[in-house]
Amino acid sequence: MEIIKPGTNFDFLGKRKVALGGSAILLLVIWLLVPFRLNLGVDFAGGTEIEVQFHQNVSPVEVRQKVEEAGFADASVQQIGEKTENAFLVHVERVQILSPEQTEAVRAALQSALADYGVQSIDFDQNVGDRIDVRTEKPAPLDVIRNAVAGVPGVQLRAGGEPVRDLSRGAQPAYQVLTQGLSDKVTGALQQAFGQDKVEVRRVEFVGPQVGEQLRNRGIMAVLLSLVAILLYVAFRFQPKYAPGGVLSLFHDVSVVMGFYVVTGAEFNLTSIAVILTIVGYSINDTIVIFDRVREIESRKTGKSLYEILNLANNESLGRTIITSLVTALSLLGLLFFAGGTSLWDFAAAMLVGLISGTYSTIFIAGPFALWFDKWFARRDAEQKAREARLAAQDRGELPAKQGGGKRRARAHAD
Amino acid sequence: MERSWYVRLGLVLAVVLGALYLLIPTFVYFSLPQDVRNDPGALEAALPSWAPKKRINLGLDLQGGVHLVLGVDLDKAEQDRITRRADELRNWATEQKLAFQSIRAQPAEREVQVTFASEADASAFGKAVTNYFGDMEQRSSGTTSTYAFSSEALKNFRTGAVDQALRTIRNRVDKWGVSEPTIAKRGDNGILVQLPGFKDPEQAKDLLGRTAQLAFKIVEDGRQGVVEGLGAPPEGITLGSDGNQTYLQSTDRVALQNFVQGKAPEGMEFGIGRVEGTDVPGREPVFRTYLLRSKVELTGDRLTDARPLLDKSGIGSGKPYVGLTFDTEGAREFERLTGDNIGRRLAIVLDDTVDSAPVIQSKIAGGSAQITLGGAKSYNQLLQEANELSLVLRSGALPAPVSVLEERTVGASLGPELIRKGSLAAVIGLALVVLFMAVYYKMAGLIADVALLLNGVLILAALAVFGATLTLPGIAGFVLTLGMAVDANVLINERIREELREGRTAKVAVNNGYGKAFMTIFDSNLTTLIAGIILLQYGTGPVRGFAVTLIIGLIASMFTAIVVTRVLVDARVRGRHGEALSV
Repeated sequence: MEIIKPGTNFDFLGKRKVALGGSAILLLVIWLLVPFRLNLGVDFAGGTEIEVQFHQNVSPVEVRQKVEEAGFADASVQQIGEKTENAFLVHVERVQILSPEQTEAVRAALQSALADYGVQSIDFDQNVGDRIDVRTEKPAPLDVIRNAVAGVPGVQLRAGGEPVRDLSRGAQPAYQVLTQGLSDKVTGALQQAFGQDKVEVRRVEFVGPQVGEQLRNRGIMAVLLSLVAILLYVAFRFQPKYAPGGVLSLFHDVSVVMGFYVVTGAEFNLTSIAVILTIVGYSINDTIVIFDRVREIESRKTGKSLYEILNLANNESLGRTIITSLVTALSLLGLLFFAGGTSLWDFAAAMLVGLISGTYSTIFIAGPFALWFDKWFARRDAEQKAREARLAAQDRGELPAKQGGGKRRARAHAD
Repeated sequence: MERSWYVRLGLVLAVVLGALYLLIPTFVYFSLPQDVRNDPGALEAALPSWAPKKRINLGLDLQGGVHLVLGVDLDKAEQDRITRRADELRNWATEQKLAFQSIRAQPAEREVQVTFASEADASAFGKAVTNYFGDMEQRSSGTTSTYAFSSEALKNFRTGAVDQALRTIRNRVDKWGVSEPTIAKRGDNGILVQLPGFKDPEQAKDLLGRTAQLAFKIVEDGRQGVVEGLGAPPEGITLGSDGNQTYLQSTDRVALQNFVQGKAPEGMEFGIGRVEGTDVPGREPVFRTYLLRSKVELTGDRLTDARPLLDKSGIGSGKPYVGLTFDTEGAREFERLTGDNIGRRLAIVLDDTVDSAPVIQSKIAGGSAQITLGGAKSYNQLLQEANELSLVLRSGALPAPVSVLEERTVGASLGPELIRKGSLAAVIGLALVVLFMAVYYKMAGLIADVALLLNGVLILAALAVFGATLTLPGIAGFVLTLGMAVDANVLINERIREELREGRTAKVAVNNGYGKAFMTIFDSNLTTLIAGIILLQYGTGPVRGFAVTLIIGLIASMFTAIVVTRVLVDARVRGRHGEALSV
């Protein structure tokens, strides 16, 4: 069986201006939208995500209402999976459970309650906000601290364990107060509203802002690093003139995958970085197959221009390009149709978009840029040659040569 | 060719059999009921004795559990330390009869401010301080002088604070008997804790966030026959002796704890610690009991500092030891304690875990003691030991507050559902690929399918050998890798088709097809490998699982797509010279 009959002769490069123009506009739109529309998950934005399942029928509206009543008006509630599963994702962007007013109220309450013991410092944990550190001059009873904090409206101490801990060492009295964490508060409110045994917490993800920022920076670094590594490999393994096109086509694919997240509003998280890096690997794979073919045709010494060679390479490899993309896409279909409601769906869909982009970019981005850089390198070489010739002529006292061997050399290089 | 073909066939068969052999524990693991499979005993019982031990582990996202990144609050720890040092300075200066007006800590600036009546007092004080406290430097002089820790001392303190928190956390996790926990440093001040199968994140956070409690207790070596009198211990617990007392030992701390719980004679208790020399990364630690006197002789908060030092006296010069300093009250207590118990062992107990038990050589007065480390060990071993012991002691003396920077908890119910959905999706995706290849390339497609399935087996076997973790993205990576690996066979088959079209014989076409496709396959796999390795470096948890699967799959596919299919294709074209080959 054959999908692509051999001997096709499409003029792919002839469409390069339309393709490049279209891609440029698409990329521009995507990157303009990224800052506004990219739905950063807790991995990168920090925050709390709670997946709950109810053992009774519950509507998203009810869940949202209860979460709002618990004091999280900014939370997003999203139903996941089949309707009958009654599973929801509650996403709260902030990590600090205490509002600035509450923080001040707690500080004031502690100051007045501990006045007799000489307050040295009251510090709130910057990252998480559920821990208060207190240092006093004289040892203070734990009860006094506990009551002072618990007395502030809306502030609850951590249930279970000891919410107030004595960390005194030697002559320095030190105490730690733990307030209720955000996920506890949300699940507590839901359990209160729907019944203790009706709510099951399936998953909690909490990422502090510090970690979120680290993960974000490292994610960007990883993508950039992979682009640079591949640029170097292609430049070393093939010729430098092929490298920029290869990397620009990868940049194109990365952008299109970002576009998928922007358009669908799917959560952009650590798995998305995995998708991007895999697409980078897959797409350059595709590009290398074509460049390999170019190298092979060049070695046949047919006297064809690079334009013709690139077209020929694309046509000769067309069967492979289509089949490989098709097979890879087929392997993702199972995930797409049978893994709904899990993060695998987003993964498969984003991968599929990247796959199509990777196939397109090899033909319409990497090729044209190789052609363009080929001309650029040739012109640079020609100018260099001409300059040398001129200098040599001046040395010999002859007139500067207007027409040197530059053009001949350029042609030889293109061949 | 005949001979080389049989060699290659033998190699392929050996690899297939080897991979299947390696997958036995994984297969047994998954065929056990879900509530039994994580019990090491049950798994061992179900495994034949000749089978390997390593299997594919399920990631936290698939089997449920708690993933925490705890941050050590270094700022707070430094502030506490400078406050503490101000107290020490005040006591020391009074003792040394140095003239000063006031000594105050300024925690925010990490400085101690000392005021004097005259410049002369100030310079006398300055000289004495930097002589005695090697880790301090003078920031400003004059009648209001400031002192701070040297930058090197601060740096050591910061790494030490994280190490001691790590140590404390490891001790606690040991006590819970979680199988295969991960506890590792992450970044500058983070500690990663992964507890597979652990169900109560609140409890974990509460217990891990507590500061360590350090206590000194006397080891009861005089009583003979106590552990022997407990009756026959259950399987896995054996008797041992350290020359001073007989003890019980086991790799299962929880079982050991349960067995001795409440069985000690009046006024005594059993402490649990690690058997010396078994605390090696990558090996399962062995725990032992210590018979201790119940009374807490001294608590860690009386200790002001502990650090590894080098012996500068004549004999045994250069030998590392641990130097301890106590506050005034602690010094008094320690003097009494050592005076009463010369020749006995002093157990250093951190959070109910006996860390070590040095022998008390003599009565120690004056508030600073030293623990010399025994045994014929190399300098490096002694230094290492001194470092570890100081960490333990400091955990009790100067605890650094810990907070939760990242938490990911997966309930037990979600995992099985994800495994079911994920594996169904994987099987369907693979079935589609297999079907397509068979239809499109007929016999050659079937050969590629054999390679594909074998590739799948190899990936799983490699995951098992490395004890790697299968995560949800890992399942997706598995399918995707197999889908992408087919590319190699597509390249080869398309090449063979081209060769055949140009009128070459079957044998030549196959030869040329494989030959020409090889470099392309190599190049393209290598670039994907680069991306995979970068992902492995970057990723955490589930994403790492994906990267591992991808990398193993790429390497395995080079073997299956080229070597394995070649063996089969060669068998097909053997003897055919002119006939047609259907590809």
